[in-house]
Amino acid sequence: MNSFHFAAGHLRYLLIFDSKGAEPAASLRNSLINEGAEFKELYAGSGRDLKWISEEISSQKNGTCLYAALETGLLEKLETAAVCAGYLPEEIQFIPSGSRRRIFCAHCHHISITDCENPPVQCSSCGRYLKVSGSRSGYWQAYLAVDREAF
Amino acid sequence: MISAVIKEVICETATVKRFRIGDIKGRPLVKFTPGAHLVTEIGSSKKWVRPYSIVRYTRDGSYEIAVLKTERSRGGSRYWHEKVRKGDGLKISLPRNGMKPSFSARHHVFLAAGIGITPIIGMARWCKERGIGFELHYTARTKAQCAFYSHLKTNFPGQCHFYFTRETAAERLTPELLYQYRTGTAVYICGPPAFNHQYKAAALAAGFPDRAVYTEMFVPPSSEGRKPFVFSTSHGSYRAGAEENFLDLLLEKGFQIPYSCRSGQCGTCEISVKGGEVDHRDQFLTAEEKMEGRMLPCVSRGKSITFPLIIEL
Amino acid sequence: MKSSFPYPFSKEQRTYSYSNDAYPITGKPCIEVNDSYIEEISYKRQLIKEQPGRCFRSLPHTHEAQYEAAKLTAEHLVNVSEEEFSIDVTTGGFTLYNSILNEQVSVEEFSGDALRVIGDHVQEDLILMTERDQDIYMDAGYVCFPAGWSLTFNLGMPFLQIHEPVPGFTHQGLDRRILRFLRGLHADTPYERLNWSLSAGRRLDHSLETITEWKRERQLVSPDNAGNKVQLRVERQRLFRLPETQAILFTIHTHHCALDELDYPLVEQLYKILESMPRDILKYKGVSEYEEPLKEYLERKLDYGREPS
Ligand SMILES: [Zn+2]
Repeated sequence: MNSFHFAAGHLRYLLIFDSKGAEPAASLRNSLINEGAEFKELYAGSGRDLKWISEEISSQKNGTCLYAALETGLLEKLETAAVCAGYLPEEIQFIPSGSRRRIFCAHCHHISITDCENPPVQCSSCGRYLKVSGSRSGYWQAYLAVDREAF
Repeated sequence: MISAVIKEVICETATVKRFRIGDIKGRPLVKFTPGAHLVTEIGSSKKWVRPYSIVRYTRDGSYEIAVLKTERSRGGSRYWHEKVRKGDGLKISLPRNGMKPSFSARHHVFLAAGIGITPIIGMARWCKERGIGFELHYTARTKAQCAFYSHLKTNFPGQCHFYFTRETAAERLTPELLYQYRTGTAVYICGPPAFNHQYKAAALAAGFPDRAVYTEMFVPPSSEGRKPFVFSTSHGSYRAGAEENFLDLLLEKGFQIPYSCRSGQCGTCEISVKGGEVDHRDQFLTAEEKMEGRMLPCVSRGKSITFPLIIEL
Repeated sequence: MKSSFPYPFSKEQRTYSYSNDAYPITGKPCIEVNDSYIEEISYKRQLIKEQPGRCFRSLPHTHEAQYEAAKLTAEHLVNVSEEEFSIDVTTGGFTLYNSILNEQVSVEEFSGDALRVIGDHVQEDLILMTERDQDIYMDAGYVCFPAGWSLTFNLGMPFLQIHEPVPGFTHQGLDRRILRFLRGLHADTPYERLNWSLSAGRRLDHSLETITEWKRERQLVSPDNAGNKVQLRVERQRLFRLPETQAILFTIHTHHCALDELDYPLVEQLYKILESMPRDILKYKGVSEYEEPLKEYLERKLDYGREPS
């Protein structure tokens, strides 16, 4: 889940990233250039750019595919803005830059923001040690995490 | 199927009649979602089976449908126009989900040609009630032949664009229209098959994602006009009578085909066709899958007694 | 085997197969009422009282569909047993009279929890799926007995994404075909399918939330106790398109049958099907952890069955 894939068939592409998302952005940029795709890049330095980015997303013409590599927090806000603008899931690819993730505890339903590259991952509400799965809910904007004991 | 009765016949234009259909016992029929249609069965031994979009749900709990008289029709629409009177009985299905308006779009574009306007009337009303942006582009030959013209003009002023192709100073709807929209737009295409194919392709080319393009292709009902046919398999060639079911025959001949619904809906009994022409009667397989030679023998069959359907099993 | 137990295999079946195995059940109700009614209703009510957030969830756009589903369910209760159930429909709602429990309950059209209210009177888990943007989502549910998944986490999720963990589900495009089948479902023709797995213990609540509690049981299976402990767990799943809102009501009635209750030909059939199952499916169905003792139990029973009497 740490790199974008080029989704063919869109008329144009919009790529939004921050400093930690520079790596996936660069590899996607290569693909877009190789494919001869029309694209635009926005560099989002910090969270205060949300309003500007939301307006940019919302004013895109039909046929735009949206890519974003941003830190958890800003990324979910952007996702909400894209859904409000009527983007369908197949028109969006998001990658959390950095190692922080929103995780959904399968046992108490609490959502924690945690560093997934530094295990053990622990639920900040019930304290269980969790294993983070690849299954992500768009509704909760979080990855499913289940008690390590269950494996 | 529900026993129903024709409560009113209204002439909409010279070639379009509107029929009000109510429950035979006077109970209100269930309400419908915009874009929905009914399957109707009418005539002696309920011979004419046809789907029609629901135009309106009346205050007394009836549905209204609109039927175009077509010269080329196999008789369904002619029967509706020439024979159906107030008080006649018919059978109707429960409403079916034809084209439910998009949940996530912030703007809806309706493209209608001729009688294709029928499902759109309910969808436009749905948008208006919710304050969601929409526009209607409606093409017909002349103003006189444009069904629901005054209704649309009165109820949705400012949102309707009419294109009368046979009037002097004719205006034409063109696919270029589809290039001007922002992301989050859904397009609905309702007209004859050629119109649907043309505008669906145009919408995809203009960048609409697949799921933002809505069209509906009705297929012929599964019991009418079945012909005898021959089919050949690795075991030999066989003949199927007009009344015989293809899947039953294959099972009888000892082919082990998994099946489930027997009504062309679940896709379980799918088989591969290597030659011959298929009379497809399911709504399950896509046009591409049918082109690739797949068929559902539980409802579909062959067409010819001279050119066999060649089955690979 | 109890007569109400829905045995999931057809007579001829000898191997595990992937297909859309739903069949039409025109005229049948979306629920059944059996001997376990009182026991299971009180268990459901205890679970939802203790863990409301995992047993009932709904999205706001499902309110009308919830009411339509609740009304259909209540009508079907009446059809199933007029002596025990009756309803009064008024403007804006209906009242269900349940003489088994000696209760009456009112369901209002715009209450937002109609599924929750009616779910208290049926043994089934109730799920509402709605069609949005030409795809199908799970948007509401009253689910106490899920088999290893979480209603809460799956809320608002597309059908195909929910089934991603199922091995073989994408095999030959099966997933897309099932989605297409669901989209083509008509209110005139409801469907049913039986979904089976094996479980250690008769516990109905196999929610993801409580996985550490029920998974332990699997370690305790031995060749001597498997006949009693291991259950054929069968979900009778029914699909009803609701005509007014076009949502899909999906009901799940979970049944158990201990392996000891199966007679010889059925044991042999189950053995053969298990033999033919791919590893990933065995794991998914929760069998891998006690495969050895289970096999030993089945083989013993087969040897015994084969002996001339
Ligand atoms: Zn927790």
